[in-house]
Order: sequence, then C-alpha cells, then structure tokens
Amino acid sequence: MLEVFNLECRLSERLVFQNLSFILERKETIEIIGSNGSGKTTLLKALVGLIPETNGDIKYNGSILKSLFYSQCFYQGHLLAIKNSLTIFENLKLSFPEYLRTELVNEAIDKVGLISYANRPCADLSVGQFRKVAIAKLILCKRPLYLIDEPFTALDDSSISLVSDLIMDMKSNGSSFILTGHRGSDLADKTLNLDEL
Amino acid sequence: MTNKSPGVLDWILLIIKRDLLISSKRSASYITPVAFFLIIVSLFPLAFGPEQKQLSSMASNIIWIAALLSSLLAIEGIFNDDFNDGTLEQIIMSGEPLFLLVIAKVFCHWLIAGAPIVVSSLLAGIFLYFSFENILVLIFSLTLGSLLFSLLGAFGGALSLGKSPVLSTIIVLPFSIPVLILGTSCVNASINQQDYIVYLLYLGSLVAIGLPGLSVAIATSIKINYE
Repeated sequence: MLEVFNLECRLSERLVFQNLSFILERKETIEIIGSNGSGKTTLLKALVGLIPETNGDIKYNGSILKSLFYSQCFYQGHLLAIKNSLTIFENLKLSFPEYLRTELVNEAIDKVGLISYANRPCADLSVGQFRKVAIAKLILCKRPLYLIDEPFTALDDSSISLVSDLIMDMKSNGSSFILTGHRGSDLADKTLNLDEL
Repeated sequence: MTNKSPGVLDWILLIIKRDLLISSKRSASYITPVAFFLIIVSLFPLAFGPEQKQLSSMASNIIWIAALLSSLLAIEGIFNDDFNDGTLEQIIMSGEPLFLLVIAKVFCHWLIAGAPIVVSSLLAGIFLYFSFENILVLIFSLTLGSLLFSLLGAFGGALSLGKSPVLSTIIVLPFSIPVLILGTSCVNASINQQDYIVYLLYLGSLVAIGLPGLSVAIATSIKINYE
C-alpha cells in the first residue's frame, strides 16, 4: 500500500533523518517511536508534503508520489484544526469538504461521549475533551490511511481504550495507520525506531 | 461521508462557510473596522470645524485614509488563526491549487472587513457633504480599493505568519500607497467634475493583475513558512 524508500529530511539545513525506509500494508499499523526531537512529527509532515525539503521515494498503491494527498490519507498533527469559537457540532460539520449528514456527526459526538457538549463552543472544553473532538473527526472521515501524531496525548484511560478500539475497528475495515509515540503500543504491527537510524 | 473525492469548489465552499460562521460569532471582526472607520471620519469635522467648503476639499482623502487604516486592523486574522490551530495545514494538504483557496480566504476577509467599510462610506459621504454622483464614484472606487487592501493585507499576513501583526502592517502600508493615490484622485476628479473613469480603470486593472498575481505570491509565502 505505502512504500517509503531512503527518505531524507532536512529542517533549516539540519538533517533530521536519512535512509528511512518502510513498507506499510493494508490493515497494518506502524508505530514510529523515538526520543524527543528524533523526527517523528517531521516524518509525518514530510509524508503529507508539509515539509518540502524531502528526498526519497514515496510509493502509494504502486504510484510514485511527491507526498500523500487529502483523498489518500487523513493527517492529524499536534495542531488539531479545531476552531475555539465554533461548537463541537459545527467544528465537525465543517472539518471536511464532503457533505456530512447531521445524524452522522451527532453519532460521532455521542461515541466520544460529548453529546451533552455538542452545542458548546470548543473554547469551553478541557484539553482532554478537545482531543476527543479530534477523535470524533477520525470517526467521521473515511480514508485508507491515517497518520496520527501521538494519538494518546492528554487522554484518560477510557478515552485511550476508545481510541484503541476505534483503530482496531477501522483496521478490520481495511484502513492502515502510521502512529507516533515514545514507546511501542499493543496496536502496532511494526515499530520503527528513529533513534536507531 | 460520500465516497466521491472533493474538488476545489468543495474546498472553496468549506473555507467560505467556515470563515463566515466564525466571523458571525465574533462580532468584533466586522464591527471593529467599521467603528474605527467611522470614528476616524467623524474626528476630522471635529478637528477642522464643520465648514462645508473645507471638509469637501479633504473629504475623499479622509475617507480613503480611514478605509486604509481600518482595513489594516483586520489583517492579522486572515491566516494567523488558521496557522496556529492547524487548519492551514489541512488546506495545504488538500492537494488543490493553493492560490484558489487563498482567493476564497481573501474574498471572505473582504466580505467581513472590506464590504462593511464600503457600505459605511455611504454614511461618511453624506456626513462630509458628498453629492449623490460623488457618493456613487466613492463606493465604486472603494469597492475596488478595499479588494486590493484585502489582497495586500493577505500578502502581508502570509509573509508574517506566526509573527507580530505589526510586521504585516509595515509590509502592507508601502504597497497600499498607489491604491490610496488612485482612489483619492478618482474621487477628487469626480468632485471637481473631471474625468474619473481613467482612475477607476487603473484601479480595476490593479485588481485584475493583483488577484491572480498576489494570490500566487500569497500561496508561495504560506508554503515557504512550512519549509
């Protein structure tokens, strides 16, 4: 599905990583681990074209690409693209250019346990609840590949198991995941340690 | 969610819908430039006295300077909020031509900050003893001028992403001077019953060149910020 060969990335002339290669199959999860500053976030950004100073080959379903695009993957970085002044419902409804039915949006909000907050501005939410809105986005978007930067940050135990179940569920439906973290999780089929490059 | 991959039009509609909804919730985004504009315009009669002859000779300059300063107030919000919360990343990732999405953002900014100034210039024109014909020329020229101010503001905002809003103002002001000169000349020509059409044509051609040209420059500046 996704093949990355000899990826090299520089940030302001500084070499972040080089000779990075991995293959991700359908229904697979790869976890990118490493210490702070090892380049986990940079790798995700490079894959989606947010860092142009990248060399190497990215092959998606057999085609060589410069980077992955919106229709091929869903990228969720540290910044969650949630507007403080909009309500949870409005944020989710206006997160994607595709038309989303109201019931579908409400269902996603209900799944993350925020239905009673659906019409509250996101500025009123706690950090954990904010992350839950981001999880609701995951539920709503249907993509073959998901790139998520530290998906378990600021989540309580029940939310962590919610995200884990969601990822397992989406995997069984054919999606693949690239996650980042500091240590490997049970969800990963493969682990790529950037400190060992 | 449908399986059909969204096109550039879907992205443009999304940007317009989202930006207008956010602005409707933050009344300061459209009230502040208008209030500032009207305050500046009303300060001149207080400073120079309400004498019709004196005010009429300065009226177009007063209105255009007030419009320029008011439009500078809203520059910061064009891209900085989207940059800080990650929305801009998603827009870049869309894979659609970024300059078209930039045009959508600039259009929203004009609707929120520029159009209300154009509408309130009607009031300012009456306040400063403009005739009906001169008010029409003022509104038409200010429509073109405010579009250019929005484009230039977006350019300054893109160049100073994540930095101080003062920087974008400093970048924008020198580029706005030709627009200011053409705008005031246009209205002054109308007041003095001279040919003003040529100035409107100049302003129109600046919009025609600036819209694609500056949009590409803005899109490039945004991408450079991610390098």
